[in-house]
Amino acid sequence: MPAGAALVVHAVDGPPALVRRLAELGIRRSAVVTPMHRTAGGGRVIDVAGSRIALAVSVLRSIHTEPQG
Amino acid sequence: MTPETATSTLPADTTRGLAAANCHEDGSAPQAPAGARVVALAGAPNVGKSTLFNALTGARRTVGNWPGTTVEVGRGAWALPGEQVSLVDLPGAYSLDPMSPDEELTRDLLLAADPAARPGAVVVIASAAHLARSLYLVAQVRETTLPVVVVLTMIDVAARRGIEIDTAALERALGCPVVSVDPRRRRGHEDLDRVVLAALDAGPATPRVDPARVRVQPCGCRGCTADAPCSCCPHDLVEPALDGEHTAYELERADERFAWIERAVTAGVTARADVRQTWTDRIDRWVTAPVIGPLIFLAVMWAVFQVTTVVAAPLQDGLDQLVSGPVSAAVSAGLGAIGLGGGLIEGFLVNGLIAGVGMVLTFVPLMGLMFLLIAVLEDSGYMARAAVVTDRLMGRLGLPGRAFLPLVVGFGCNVPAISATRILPNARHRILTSLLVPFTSCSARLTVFVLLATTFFPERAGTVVFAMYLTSILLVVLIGLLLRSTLWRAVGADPLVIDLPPYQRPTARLSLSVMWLRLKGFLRTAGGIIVATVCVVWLLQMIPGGGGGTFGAVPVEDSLYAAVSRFVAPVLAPAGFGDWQAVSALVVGFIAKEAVISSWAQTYALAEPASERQPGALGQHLLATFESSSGGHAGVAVVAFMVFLLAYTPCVATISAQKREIGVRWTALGLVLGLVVAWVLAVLVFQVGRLIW
Repeated sequence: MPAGAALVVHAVDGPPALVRRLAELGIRRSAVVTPMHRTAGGGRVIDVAGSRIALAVSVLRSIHTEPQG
Repeated sequence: MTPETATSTLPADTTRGLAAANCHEDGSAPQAPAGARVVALAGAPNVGKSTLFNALTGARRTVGNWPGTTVEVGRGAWALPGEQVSLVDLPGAYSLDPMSPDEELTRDLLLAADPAARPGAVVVIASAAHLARSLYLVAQVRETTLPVVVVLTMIDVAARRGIEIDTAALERALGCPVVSVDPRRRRGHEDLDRVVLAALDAGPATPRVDPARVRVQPCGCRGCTADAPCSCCPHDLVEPALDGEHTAYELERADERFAWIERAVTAGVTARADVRQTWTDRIDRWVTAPVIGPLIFLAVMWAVFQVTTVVAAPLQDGLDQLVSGPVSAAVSAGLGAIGLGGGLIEGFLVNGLIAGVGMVLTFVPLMGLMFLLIAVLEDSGYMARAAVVTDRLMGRLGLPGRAFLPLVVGFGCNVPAISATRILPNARHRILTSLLVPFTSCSARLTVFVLLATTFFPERAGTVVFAMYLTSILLVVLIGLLLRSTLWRAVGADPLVIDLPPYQRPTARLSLSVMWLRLKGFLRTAGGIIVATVCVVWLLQMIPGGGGGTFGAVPVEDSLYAAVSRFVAPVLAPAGFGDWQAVSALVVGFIAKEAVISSWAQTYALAEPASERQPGALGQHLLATFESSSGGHAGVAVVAFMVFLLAYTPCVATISAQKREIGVRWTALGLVLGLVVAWVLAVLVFQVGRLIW
């Protein structure tokens, strides 16, 4: 995930509880997310509709995206 | 925490976690009269529910700018125009599909099977800065007949991000009233009062989805089926998730809700399309960064303890001089004037109550300052960042990053920290975290550390206290690794998913209010448990311990109190503090750590006539005690003592909270574990330390 580039989520996989929690936070199919800076532990902060969500690296791997537009 | 009276009319399972009387907060609010209509306050975590609850009811529940602050239900009276209603503050939940016990509690209260037990209206708090995310819960509650009022908070934060909200358009799209309020500055409450009253009067709402598409959740009584539900079935509910299974039906429902939310947001919200770097982002680039982030975390914690000890020290000395000097002298003189001087009554009042409680009260400035600094950190939003930088460490222990939050609470008081483990969805994570919480150094232990550090290491007291906190963190890590490698090999950690709230400037009123709430809890302990302990200790010190003497006329070293402590003392001799005076404080500390200092103050006060007592004399006595018990290695022995005090056993209130949350078996295991770890470490510290120091 390159920092600063808007991406469209085309799939989220992983345990159902995680998928549901991410959906509640706005990270779901067709949502636009923007990766921001890296965090301690190898994760990242991402922007989702103006919210900042810190995600572990394993969670980032379960979010499949493609460049917007 | 939740006052007992405040939860008494809730279903039985919602009353778990009632406050035990100890150093944690009491945020009690006046209660509405019996039969008052009920309004529930719901919303995603960290949108300001408890702040609004406090503003509306006059309660003082814990608030903080981080997710998971509320894990229990609070209840208070809310004075609407012409009517008092009962307001219920529910734990934060993003949806009605629970993933943790606190979310389950919210779901159960809103969707109670018995319609009479449901609230008359639900106020759903939504953050204007993250509106779409806050509306999933609204979408679900609007599928029921519960009247809903949406309250928008964080309007100022949204405005700074270029987000504008047309509340009238949003109202039309959501099909329910929308009100903007600022709970931190108490603005918009009149509109909210009026709208909620109207919603209560209007009665059941029309569900936003076609009832034909809504499935029935059969309640399971005789003859009740999905096709023919009985009158108690929650027939207006959409079928909840089945143990987290993602059925096609559930996905279809979720898609419909997200589409509804998107339509509402499109209708009512104008936002900048670009992602702009905010001040929060700029700060977070450093605060959550690899390497720098953890270093900033350590520096922040060190600064808290350094500022606390340095600033509070002169105030503490002043109070010590006041209590041991003029106050004690005035009481002695007063008793002498009415003919009660020199006897048991003067002994009890001056050497017992004033020496014990007075000594604890000298720590009020220190505790107040620390509570204030922690409240400022919480209100600013920093604590969520602390959870991010400690996530990898937590992961090594087999715990999710969220487990850091109850552990942080533990540094204030272990009792609410045990309750806070409910934010963790996995039962084994909750047990493991509950077993680790007692190793976090609570504020009551801080008082003892400060006394010993200023007495034995006056030049480096702040650093010594900080080192004790580092030791506490190290113990949590080591014990966590030990438990993970033995009892929980198969349990993985939930990966980090945490919402980072925008930083906000802490308000003086909120920070001081949180500080006062916690300080009041501490003072209540001083006024309750400590007075009781002081009385028992004084009584034991009056009873002869087998070496002659009569009641009230026995030297303290020959009392029953000393005899019991001497019996235990040899066990601790290898740790360098096998002295009855040191051991007796540890026995008392099992009841409440705050009582450690008061028991010392009592013991040494009895050993020395009031007329000869000097301010700061307690420190001199402690120096002599540890010097003698350690064979000349007092510094090492006192470090061993502090390590033992840190680990040996939590107070009875914490044990009671553990029993409630994880059961007797795990609580007993934790107790034994603490004692073994404390003894081994203290002996190790003393035996190795005296060789090199």
